[in-house]
Amino acid sequence: MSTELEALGPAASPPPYGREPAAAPRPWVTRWESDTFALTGPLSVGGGLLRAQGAVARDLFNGHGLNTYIAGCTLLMVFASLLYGAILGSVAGAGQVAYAALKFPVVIVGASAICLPSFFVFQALTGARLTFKQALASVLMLGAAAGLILLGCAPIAWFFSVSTTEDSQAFLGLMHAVVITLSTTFGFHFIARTHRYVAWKHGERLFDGRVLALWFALLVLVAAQMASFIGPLDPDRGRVETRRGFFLTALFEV
Amino acid sequence: MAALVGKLLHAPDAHFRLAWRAPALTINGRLLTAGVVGAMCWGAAMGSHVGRDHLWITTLKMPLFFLFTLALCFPLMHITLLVSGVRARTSQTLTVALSGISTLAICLGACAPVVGLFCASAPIPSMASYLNLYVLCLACGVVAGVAGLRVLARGMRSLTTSGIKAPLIVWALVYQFVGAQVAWLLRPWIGSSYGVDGYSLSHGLSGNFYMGVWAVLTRWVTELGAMS
Repeated sequence: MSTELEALGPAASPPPYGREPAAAPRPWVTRWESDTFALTGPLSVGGGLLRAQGAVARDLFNGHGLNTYIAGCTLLMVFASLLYGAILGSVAGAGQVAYAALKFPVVIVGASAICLPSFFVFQALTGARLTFKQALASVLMLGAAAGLILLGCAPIAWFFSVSTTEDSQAFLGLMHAVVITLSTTFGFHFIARTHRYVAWKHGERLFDGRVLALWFALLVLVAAQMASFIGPLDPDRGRVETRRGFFLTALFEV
Repeated sequence: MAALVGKLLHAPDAHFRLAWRAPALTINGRLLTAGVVGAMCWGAAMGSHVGRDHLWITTLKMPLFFLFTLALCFPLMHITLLVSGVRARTSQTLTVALSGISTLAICLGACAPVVGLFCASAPIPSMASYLNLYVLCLACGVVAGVAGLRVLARGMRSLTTSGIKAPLIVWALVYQFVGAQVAWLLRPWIGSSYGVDGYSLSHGLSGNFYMGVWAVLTRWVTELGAMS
């Protein structure tokens, strides 16, 4: 009898007291787990963010190729905001295109740079294991993921800009606001999923979820204030003219 | 070509299985041809209401409408598919999109003789007949749109085992949103409304579809308020 029991092997140990058995991974986690991606250079980063988000998240956690990711995400973010800025400026005529194309990347990159120290410090304070390079790469990845959606929407935004007359500025403003909101939300969604994926895979916190959400709200506020100050969305503004004032006041004026 | 159309309509699953094995250029070329022919038939039917130059202008405008809308939407459609977890190549996304649009255009082309008869025989100029034809075209568009969506769903499902609801809804909404403005740009379709005969780009570029709809709604509400 004892021989038969030994042949069955040791009895499965019960789960520790108070600890729930691990839930089955959600479909997107399974998909991310099977993602593979060969980082060949800065220009391949966009492909990774679209096709192999799981592999990018693993690289971010392990610190693999962070310099390449930083370079690639910066390029993507600047190019996407430059192109979309040009589309924003095209409403006000050819003269404004170049200035809006320069102003919009300043808003996006500037807002990210202003918010980066707070992201790193508050994440570290709440116990997240994150180096400064990983923090920089995370913020740039958020911007690059948002930039990809901006690039996808660019032909549509351009078409509406050229085919809509000047009496429909409210419609165009609303459309651009929706596009920018959607793209930013996608960027945040990617970073939030990266956090959940790392927590599931390694049982560790790359970020603190609550701090991430609060920081994202701060990033949006900073970007809105910078946009109000520099004015890439305002066709009546002089080419290098800045305007002091709180962005909500400007929004209510519209 | 006939075999491809037959498979696309009655066995979309088999069509996509075949499409992933065949050269993408051949399949996409055939789908494009089938779609253009269907759209031209539908355009000719709509243009027959006014006749004269409208007939051939609308015949040319209709495939242009479908393809220009697709060209504008394609980058966002492909990105949507990728971020939803459907790991498709660009050519595969194009095959799925063209299959859906070709199905829509073929269905419209099949309705073209009926619509053509009503368009050619309706009195002109008459606002009542214009509105009746408008409703008839809308009904055909809805039926064809449902058929196109069904093929789109099958195409997406052939590429992945995960959920396709979100990308399908995004595709339909984005295509509809842009398509409405492209249709506005290329108007008039059924009639020679606003005193424009033939087609004029400057007329098309005036205003915006959504602002036009908003203006009509505002007018209705104002008039109803004034009446009550």
